[in-house]
Amino acid sequence: MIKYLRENLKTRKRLRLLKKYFEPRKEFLKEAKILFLHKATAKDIKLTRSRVSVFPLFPSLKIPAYAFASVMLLLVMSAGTIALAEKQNVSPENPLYNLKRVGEKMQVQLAPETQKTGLHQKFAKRRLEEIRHIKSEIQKTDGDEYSRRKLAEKQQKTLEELNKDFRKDVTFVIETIEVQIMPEETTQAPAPPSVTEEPPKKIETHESQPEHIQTPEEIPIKNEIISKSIAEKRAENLCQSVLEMIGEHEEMENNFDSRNSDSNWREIKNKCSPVLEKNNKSGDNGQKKFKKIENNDGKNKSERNDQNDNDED
Amino acid sequence: MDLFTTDFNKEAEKLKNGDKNAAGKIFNHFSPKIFSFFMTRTAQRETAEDLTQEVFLKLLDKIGTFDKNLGGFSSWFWQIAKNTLIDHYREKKSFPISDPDIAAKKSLIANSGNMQKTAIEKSEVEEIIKIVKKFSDEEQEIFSLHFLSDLSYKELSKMLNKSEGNLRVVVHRIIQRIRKSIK
Repeated sequence: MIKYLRENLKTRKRLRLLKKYFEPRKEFLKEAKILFLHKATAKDIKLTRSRVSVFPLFPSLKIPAYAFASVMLLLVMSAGTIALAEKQNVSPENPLYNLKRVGEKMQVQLAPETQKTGLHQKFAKRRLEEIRHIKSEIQKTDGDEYSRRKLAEKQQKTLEELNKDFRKDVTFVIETIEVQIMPEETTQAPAPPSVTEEPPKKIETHESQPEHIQTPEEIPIKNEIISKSIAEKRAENLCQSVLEMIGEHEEMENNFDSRNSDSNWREIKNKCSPVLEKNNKSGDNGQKKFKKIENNDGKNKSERNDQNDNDED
Repeated sequence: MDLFTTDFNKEAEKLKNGDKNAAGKIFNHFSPKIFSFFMTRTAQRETAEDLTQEVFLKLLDKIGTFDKNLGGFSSWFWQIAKNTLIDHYREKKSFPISDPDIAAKKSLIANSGNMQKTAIEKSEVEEIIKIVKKFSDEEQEIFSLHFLSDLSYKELSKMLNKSEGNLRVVVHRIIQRIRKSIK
């Protein structure tokens, strides 16, 4: 037993010696600890693991992963709410109304130039409906004097803003008609007769001879006539739509007498009237040309029907 | 409370946030053990120091990926140490203590500057090393982790995926062999 204990003690002593032999130097531990603590408390190392690169072109530009995920989640939720508000066409009292307006602004910003006019026309109609809705709500207002007054003030403020936005949208549509769609009608003299008179004859012969193949000179002339006719029709439709909206707006504002109509509306009406008059005057020639071309190509049937209706009128 | 599994998990979570005290506690607890582990496996003091430092820098790089729900910090950290050693063997073609090359032993003794290098002690240490060199790789690993790095059976069990009973048997056998050899 004593021998066993002695052997055991000897073994333990040797192991302790070996362990002591394998201990690190104190200087090394001190230096390594300083380095480790310095690195551990440095923010750049601490966050390295949880950062993600957002922009492929700038891989060094990184943000924390949780922040990136939060921003993405927020964006998705906002986009969903805006889409919902836009789809349901919420009224100005609705809490989602401001989001709907943000969505509209984004649509206008992102849309190509050719579609912006249509969007402004659509939004002008919306503003008109909203003005009508607010006015109907004003008539229904109940409650005590104080709350009614407060509500009326709020509604009046909303109405002012809606009117302002309606004007902006309508003005944009009219300016587009003036600048982009009908530049010749408002700023230039009518096109020379050689361009407008010669092609119909050729096309008439084409009508009588269906197997006739168009010459290269005929194609651009024909295209020009088509695009001009479409532009005229589009401008006319837009003007009519705008005038209808202004009429409805004036009706709501009780401005039945044109003398009371404010200068802004009068100006817009003045801008629209040449377009409508010109289309009425040149309706016979231009529309006939357009009709013939359309008959030959079998395109734009709906527009052709509109032209026929106008002719009958 | 189990210090091994619980407390260092907390320290690890604090280390993620750059807590200096937590970093200090982890370093103080693990650095001598990890150094001893590398020392027995590489038989070179400089290499063991370099590897120890490397393991702690790796810890800072990987601490963001540590998940306390998947296991204890200590096992996770020791696994980093073991992988570092494997990488070292691959890159440097260095020899562990089990390598028969006598240069390892000479280097081990020549580089030791932490104790009185008396002739008796040297011979005693050499005697133990000679005995340990005859062990299998697994026995050497258990010997270094249990006797030199002071890892408990529970820690070893988690690290090496062996039952505590099995480890006790292996350790007992190691002691028996050493005792017989140094009679």
